[in-house]
Amino acid sequence: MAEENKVKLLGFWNSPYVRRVELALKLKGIPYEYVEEDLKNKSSLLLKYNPVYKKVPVLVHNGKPLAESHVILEYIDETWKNGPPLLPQDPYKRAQIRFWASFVHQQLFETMPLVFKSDGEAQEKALKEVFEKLSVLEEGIKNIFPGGIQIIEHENVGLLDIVMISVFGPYKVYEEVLGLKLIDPEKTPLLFSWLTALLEIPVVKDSLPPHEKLVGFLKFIRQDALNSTSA
Amino acid sequence: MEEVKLLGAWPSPYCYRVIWALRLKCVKYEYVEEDLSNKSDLLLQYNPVHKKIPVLVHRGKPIAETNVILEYIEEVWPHNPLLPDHPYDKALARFWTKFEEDKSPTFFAFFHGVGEEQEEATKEAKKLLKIIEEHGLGEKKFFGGNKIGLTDLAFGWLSGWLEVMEEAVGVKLLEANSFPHLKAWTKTFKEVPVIKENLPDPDEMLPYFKSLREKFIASATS
Repeated sequence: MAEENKVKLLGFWNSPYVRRVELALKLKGIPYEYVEEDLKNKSSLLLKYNPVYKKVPVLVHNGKPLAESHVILEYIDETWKNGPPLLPQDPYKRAQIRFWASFVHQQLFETMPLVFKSDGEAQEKALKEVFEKLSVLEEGIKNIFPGGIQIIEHENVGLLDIVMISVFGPYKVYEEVLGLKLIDPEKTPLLFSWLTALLEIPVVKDSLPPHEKLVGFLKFIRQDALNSTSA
Repeated sequence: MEEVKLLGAWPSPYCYRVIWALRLKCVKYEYVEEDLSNKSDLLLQYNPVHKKIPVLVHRGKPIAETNVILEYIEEVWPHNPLLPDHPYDKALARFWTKFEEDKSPTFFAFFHGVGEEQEEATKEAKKLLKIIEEHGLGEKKFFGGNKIGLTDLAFGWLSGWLEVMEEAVGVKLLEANSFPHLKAWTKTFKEVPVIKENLPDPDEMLPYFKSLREKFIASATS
């Protein structure tokens, strides 16, 4: 591809942060070269492009690197204005999207690992917290989807949808590994219909890691964590 | 009634960031001091999710979370911009703002921790300051380049609050010979007129931080 608009993405197959960026690039129709990183043996390229965090994703545009998925998503939106916008125009609506994206990331995504890595009382406590926060999210997004959700078109997928999918897109995998319902259509009907509508969109569905591979990975993580706490 | 209202609590650096942004853009606002031990109905109504300050209320609509508020202010009042024009430079500014947010638990542990925990936190905090000095600030006058920007506001607490915290803890973190550029920046930052006129009084902050520190020590050793 032309040097002037070369995009490279350094990533890892199971990173939700990387999935966010990939989905954004695909939604906008931006061609890119993907480089899978071995996180146990980080490449000199990764260390050069992200010396501060040494993590993926890293987007390299015309040789200039950017790290941190939220930062990258806003950069993509501001740089490629031809594709569908990831944020609305109105500043107040933008603030609402950023607020809830931050909520999903900080309040939900960061609590989920404990649910997988614990059992008994500790897991019950972690789950309770997750369910409480899902309720808050259910309530909160009523303002963003005032008419409910039936169908979401490809061009209307935005930053909040991307963050939500990166965290809860594989919710059926989580439910299988944990043996319980996480996104219950009766308890959180709006979240359920939101995810269902998003997963109907081919590019969104394709952005999820392979079901069986993720099941295997999470089961391993869970077993490993439980073994080390009981040892 | 002012079109813009800010719910805050002294001496929260998060609130000051919003105050600085509003004042740098000459936006008039009404300030409401919250008692965090007795949160007002207004705060609970405007920020039911987190119940925290700062909250900006513009034309009756509330916005919470400091970084969300600052991006909103930048978009609604674009004069005297606090973010660079070019998307890449804007992204770098946001990266460092995010870095500050991500790493704040380490600095909190420096202030909050006792004994070994505090020593560990001090070591970690110095490593972070090194990263900020070398990769974030470099030899620039401000984080944003030649003029003050949102990233400078994010690190503003290093300028107005850290010295008082260091005195309360009895440990120096930001030493001039280890972090010459960052130390110089703290002075440059404080000399910006809007900042100079809107900093909490160190003489008032010291007893406040000392008393907080005593509480942390008491709960750690009880």
